[in-house]
Amino acid sequence: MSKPLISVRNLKKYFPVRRFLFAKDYVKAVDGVSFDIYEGEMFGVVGESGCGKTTLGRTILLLIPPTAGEIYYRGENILEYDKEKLKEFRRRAQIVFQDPYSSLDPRQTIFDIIIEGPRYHGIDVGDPEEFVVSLLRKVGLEEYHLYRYPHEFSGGQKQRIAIARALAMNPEFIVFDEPTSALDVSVQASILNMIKQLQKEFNLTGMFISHDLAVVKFMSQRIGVMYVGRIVEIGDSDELFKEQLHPYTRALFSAIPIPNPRVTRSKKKMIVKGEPPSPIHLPRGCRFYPRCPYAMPICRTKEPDLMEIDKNRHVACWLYR
Amino acid sequence: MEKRIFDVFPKKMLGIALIFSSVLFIFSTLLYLFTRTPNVVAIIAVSLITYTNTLTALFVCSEKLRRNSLPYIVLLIILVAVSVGILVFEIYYLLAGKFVAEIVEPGYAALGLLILLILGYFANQIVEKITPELYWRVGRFLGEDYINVVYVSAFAMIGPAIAFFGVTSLDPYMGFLTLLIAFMPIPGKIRNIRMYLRREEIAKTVEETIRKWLLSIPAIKDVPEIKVYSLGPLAFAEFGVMVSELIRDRLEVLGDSIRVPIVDMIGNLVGIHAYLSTTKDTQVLVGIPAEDSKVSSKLTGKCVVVRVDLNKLEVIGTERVELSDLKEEDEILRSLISKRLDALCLREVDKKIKNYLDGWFIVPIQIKSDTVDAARKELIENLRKLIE
Repeated sequence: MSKPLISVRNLKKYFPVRRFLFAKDYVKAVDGVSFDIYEGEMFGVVGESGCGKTTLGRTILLLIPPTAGEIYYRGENILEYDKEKLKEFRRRAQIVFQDPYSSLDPRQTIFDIIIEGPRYHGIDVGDPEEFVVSLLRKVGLEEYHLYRYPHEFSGGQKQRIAIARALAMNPEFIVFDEPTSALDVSVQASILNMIKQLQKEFNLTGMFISHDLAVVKFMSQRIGVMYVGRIVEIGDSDELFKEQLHPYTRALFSAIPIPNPRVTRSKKKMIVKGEPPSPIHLPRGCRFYPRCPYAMPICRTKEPDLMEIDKNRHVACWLYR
Repeated sequence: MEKRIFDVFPKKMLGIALIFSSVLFIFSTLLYLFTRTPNVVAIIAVSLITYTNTLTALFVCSEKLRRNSLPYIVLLIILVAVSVGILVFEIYYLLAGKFVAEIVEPGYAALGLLILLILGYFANQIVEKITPELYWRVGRFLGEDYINVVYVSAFAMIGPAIAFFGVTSLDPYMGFLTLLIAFMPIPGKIRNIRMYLRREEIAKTVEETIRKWLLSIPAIKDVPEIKVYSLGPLAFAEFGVMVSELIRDRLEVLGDSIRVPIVDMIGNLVGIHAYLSTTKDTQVLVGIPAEDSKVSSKLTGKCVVVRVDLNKLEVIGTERVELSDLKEEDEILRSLISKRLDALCLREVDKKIKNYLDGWFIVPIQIKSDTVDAARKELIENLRKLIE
């Protein structure tokens, strides 16, 4: 395996919420997450809505400052970067947002939207029009789209523009934050195929955030499963789909619908009871224990760390200590 | 073999809370003597109230004082009565019109109240933040009293601030409103005193909850002693548990595993004093997964449960358990826990199952025998090795 491009260590992002008057509580959106993303790989992050996937992606790119922890880019802690280095990191690390309708400035033409980043960073792109047109072609758009405004495009086309804008910076790392969830199914496939093709072409390293397991499997080489602000399991995509170790991962994967009634009937379903805990008042110990069918007394006492139990396989569960 | 657990809310924290209460009380009294504004009187009463929760925690933590709660209830009644007395007297004094034009140095009064507000805020933050995580609920309970100081001070500042700019006639009326606001925490304190009358009933409920949870761990054979002392909303638990000799090496882990959940379960528990002792004078249940008379190589829904007298190391009974409706591994394991097994014989001990059994303090025993009869003999030999 190649070297890690991005390494995250014990990353935390807490959002303060007022209890009353002066007292504060904290929403622990990301709470002690550690993992590596290797060069040229697409790392998938899955988990149910509200588990902190988007916050994790944005915190890694320093779009929101972390509360604690370290983020390494090529072995250097980006939290210790000076202004110049940080600017360079911001050029090298891009994001494609979930909602293409609000991520593009409605008052700018597509040309302005795409060229804005390279201009700000002083990147020599040669002839700007040619540069933007070449990018538009790469994402399946045409030259005549150049001076149109975002409202003239469909959702899928807007997402293509957002991807072209990210590629314009010649990035090494892109966070794809549920890039297809706002699109209809027919458009999703073409966008996913395009991202996959571009990843190969540009040798991109990426983090693909989604709550759709099938999409993450298609896109990622390795997958991290998140539950209420923590990564509970990491594994190779194929391995993880073959066997899930953490009880939450098992429950999550057993919820994948199978379009074959016979297989559905014979498939073991694991249904977890209850709701995820509030990220403000997390239970002590393992945060999954109130819903876990394997809960043991120790799970109420200590939170398990992510332990390496096999090559490329990490799990945070006392069953595998 | 015996292991003791003694975990109490840190007394240092209570000391810090008492210091803050005293500083608030002394400062507000001096400020009143200097400025003669009724707004400050409200803070004197509220700062007296801040003693009540800390004293409750102090009494519950002390072995002697929690056993005889009469001094506590007397002190609590005195504190609340004095606070109410101060407030009522000042309201009477105000209504009699004696405060009018008596305010002196309104600027110092406003500044002093600002200092009291800041002190109250810091007291809240420090008490809540320094409290160890295990006792966060108690920390919050102690800290909330200081928030009363903060908002009463904020309101009390209005009168002297206006007086500072020349409108002195408003001060006593604002003082009247401040005194009414200062009354707000009093009903809660009176409820706590009333709770004292129901303390036996509350303690019994808590005792039952703890006993029930302890006995959900199969290794715990008995809870011979349990006593919960409850003062106001706080409680202290003392109990003893008897476990089988099979887990004598794991008493430390068991202690850790029961300490935290009990504090969490009961909420405002300020401490636990417990002892865990092992005994051979007990019967243990050992499960052997078996189909008919053959030992299964893996965990299945069919099981033979052997009852063994641990003292004599004799099989005193065998029962066949069919869990045929349970197919999932987690369901089978959970049902074995509910059968209160002490040990489980397996021919192949999978790491995950071993960890699960360890987690529930069920001893996994690896056996080689093919038949249930042979397994029973092998089991006795294994048990002998375990307890000798």
